Amino acid sequence: MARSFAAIIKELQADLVLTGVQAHNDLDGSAGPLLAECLQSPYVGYVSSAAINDGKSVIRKEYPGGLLAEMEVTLPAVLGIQAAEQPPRYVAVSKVRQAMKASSIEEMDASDFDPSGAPAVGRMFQPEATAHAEMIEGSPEEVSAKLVDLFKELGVL
Amino acid sequence: MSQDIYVVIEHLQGQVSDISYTMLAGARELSQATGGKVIAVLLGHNAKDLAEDFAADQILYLDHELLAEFTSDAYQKALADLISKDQPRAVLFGNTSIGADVASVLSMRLGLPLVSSCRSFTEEGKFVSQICGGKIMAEGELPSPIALVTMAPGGYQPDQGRSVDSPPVTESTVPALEALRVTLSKYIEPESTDVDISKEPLLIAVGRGIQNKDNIELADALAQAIGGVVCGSRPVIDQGWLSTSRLVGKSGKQVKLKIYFAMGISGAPEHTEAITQSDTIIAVNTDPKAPIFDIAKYGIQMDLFELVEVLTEHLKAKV
Repeated sequence: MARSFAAIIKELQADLVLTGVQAHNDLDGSAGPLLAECLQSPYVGYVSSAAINDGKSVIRKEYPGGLLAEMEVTLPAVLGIQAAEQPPRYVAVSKVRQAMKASSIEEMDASDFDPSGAPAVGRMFQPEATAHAEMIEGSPEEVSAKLVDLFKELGVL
Repeated sequence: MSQDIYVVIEHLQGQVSDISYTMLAGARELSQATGGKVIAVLLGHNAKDLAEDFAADQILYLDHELLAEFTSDAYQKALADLISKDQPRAVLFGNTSIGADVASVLSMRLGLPLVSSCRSFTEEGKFVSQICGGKIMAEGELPSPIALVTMAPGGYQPDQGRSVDSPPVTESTVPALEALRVTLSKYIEPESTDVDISKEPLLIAVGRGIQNKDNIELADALAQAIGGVVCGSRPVIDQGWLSTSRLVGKSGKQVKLKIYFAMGISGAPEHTEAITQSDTIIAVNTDPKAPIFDIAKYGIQMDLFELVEVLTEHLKAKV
């Protein structure tokens, strides 16, 4: 996929390409950095804010514990976006319809897929849970009473 | 070409990250299948002292002033050079903000296959990776002759990768690092005006299941009744329902507390990896198959909205 996108983006001569950091399902996180390398562009992921200034992008990269690193990235570049400064919001249907009328979607041919480099998976299986929670059953009233007892037992009440 | 397993040590602001020790533990298991050595690879500047408790057979140290702090471009250049020269059997990176910026790029640059989100290795040296949010595992032969691997926590305990006597440090040459396209300007520390959730004994954690910002009040009321603080998983923070300082997870805080009371949190790996050190995890979720129930000590299969107010009242009555 990265190779196919790269072929198209090279033609478009984009200064900045934004991808996600990783998909929810496989948590692979490879599309952005693979694409960047195909384009010979720098890549920074886990980005939560980006601005353009004088041929460079000034970005903030997230590290564990709420630490941020401010970095300068020379354009053209690919950034993996973790979050936005503002939460995403829904767009009114009327605006979507307006956009559908006003803009057109250009179709481009993807180059032949070259999937080389991906490791072969021999089997897939559900992980065997080494443990499972002890379930507390009952009505909300009963569960609450049991939880209060549990909190007392654990010394927090 | 060797059968050695290289582990790229991650460190930030003078602290070696837990994932580095997790990887050393994984590398030890893998090396028993390949028959090679475990080699810790440390990049930094005047950072040799960080290599004091690595459970490795050898430490390779790459010193350069442009490697003092992590930037993707400098790490990629230095490691591309090292991997091409040494041709190890496998190179392990963290599936983290640092490792993920480097491993895939090197995979394309050097034409080497990449295994993502590996949790453990089998006795035969196969990789076992987590996919579908940790609900399914994928197993396969480690690609030959050189494999790049990103490792997720969970398969090994960091303490398995620590050692009281670290092996000798060998300095390795660093290639020219000119014309870097990514530079670090500064670090921005998290705001300290809010409570520090990593120091709280009891957290009420809310996930996507809390549905909207107004419902945070319900969690707050429960937290007040029991003497805890509210925190959240990524979706809650991204929606702006709680401030970033309350984020628990891979990119937020790691917590080691007495009680973690999780409501409407499914238990995706990037969240649970930050809470497994807690004494007692209690989880409320409508889905009986939610992965959170596999790590929680106590579970309640219920709609959190049916429970939260009743529980708050019960707590108020007892305290």
